[in-house]
Amino acid sequence: MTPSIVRHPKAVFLTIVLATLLAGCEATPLYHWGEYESLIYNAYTQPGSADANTQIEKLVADIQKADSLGKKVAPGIFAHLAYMYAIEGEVAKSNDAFVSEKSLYPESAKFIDGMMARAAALYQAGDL
Amino acid sequence: MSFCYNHLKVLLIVSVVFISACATQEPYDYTALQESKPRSIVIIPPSNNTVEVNAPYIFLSTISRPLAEKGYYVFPVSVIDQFLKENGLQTPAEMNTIPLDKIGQHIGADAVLYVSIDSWGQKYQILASTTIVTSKLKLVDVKTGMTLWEATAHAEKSSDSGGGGLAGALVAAVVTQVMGSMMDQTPQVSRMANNLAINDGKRGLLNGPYTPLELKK
Repeated sequence: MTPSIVRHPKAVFLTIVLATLLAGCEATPLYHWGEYESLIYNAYTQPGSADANTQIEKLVADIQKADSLGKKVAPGIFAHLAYMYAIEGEVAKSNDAFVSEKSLYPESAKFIDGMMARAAALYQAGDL
Repeated sequence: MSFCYNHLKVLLIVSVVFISACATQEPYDYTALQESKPRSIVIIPPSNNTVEVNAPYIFLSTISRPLAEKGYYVFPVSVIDQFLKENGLQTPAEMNTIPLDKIGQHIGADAVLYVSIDSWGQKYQILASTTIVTSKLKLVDVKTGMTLWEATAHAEKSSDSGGGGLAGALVAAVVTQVMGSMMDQTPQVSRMANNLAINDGKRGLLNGPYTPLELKK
């Protein structure tokens, strides 16, 4: 028995139209998200598949993409990038990215200041 | 005739029950949330009541976006996880015991989202499989410890068999189950669940400070 909807092309058409209209109702996203969440997924489910350099490459590309779309970089992305730079020992770039997170989102200040202070201490001790 | 009448009666009772179930759903009490007006949310890696060891971390890859799109500042989930690990909290279970004042002191978040995962993954049936995600979300004020918002995020997605009758369905079920082991459906279903819970018209989360003015009602 074929489902009745298949026997009524008009119904299929209407469903598609309706779905498109409903999808159109969805609010425009505030941010361009790019690969951020899939990087998190990969880093946990396939450790080693997303090393710090790979993540940096993708996040930098996403930030450029957000700029070109005129979208604000989403919360957490600069901080995540900064952490990846720190893993790679790129202290200056890490600081720049931390500062970007803080200036876009002042709510992050306390956490970011702590991260930067600890990174600076490690750098002084020669551990970074 | 009386048979038909009985059926109608049952139908009537069932529909009344359904309708009253809809009507008695109380409107959510947003008093605490409206008083607290949190700007920022830190998500503690979920406690896991399932056997899927990756569930808490897959969940983390599906929660930043709906919360941030709702207008909140969301702390970077995996940096926070690393930070907690570096500070001696190795498992999500331990992370869920951090005192709120420590969170305020070191992270500076206005609110914490506690999550517990109750179901996660595929349920195999004869003709298809269904991916089910259920997690409980609880937003707590860091300063007062008050619960600001609670919800159950639940979604299911069945890999339906398409057309082709019973034989086609049998084959399709095998294909989707084989595919399913390679293509993890849980992030998609968890994302759907979180979106539904956060954006629910009656019991969803209220808009945060980054929601554009024209969308605030």
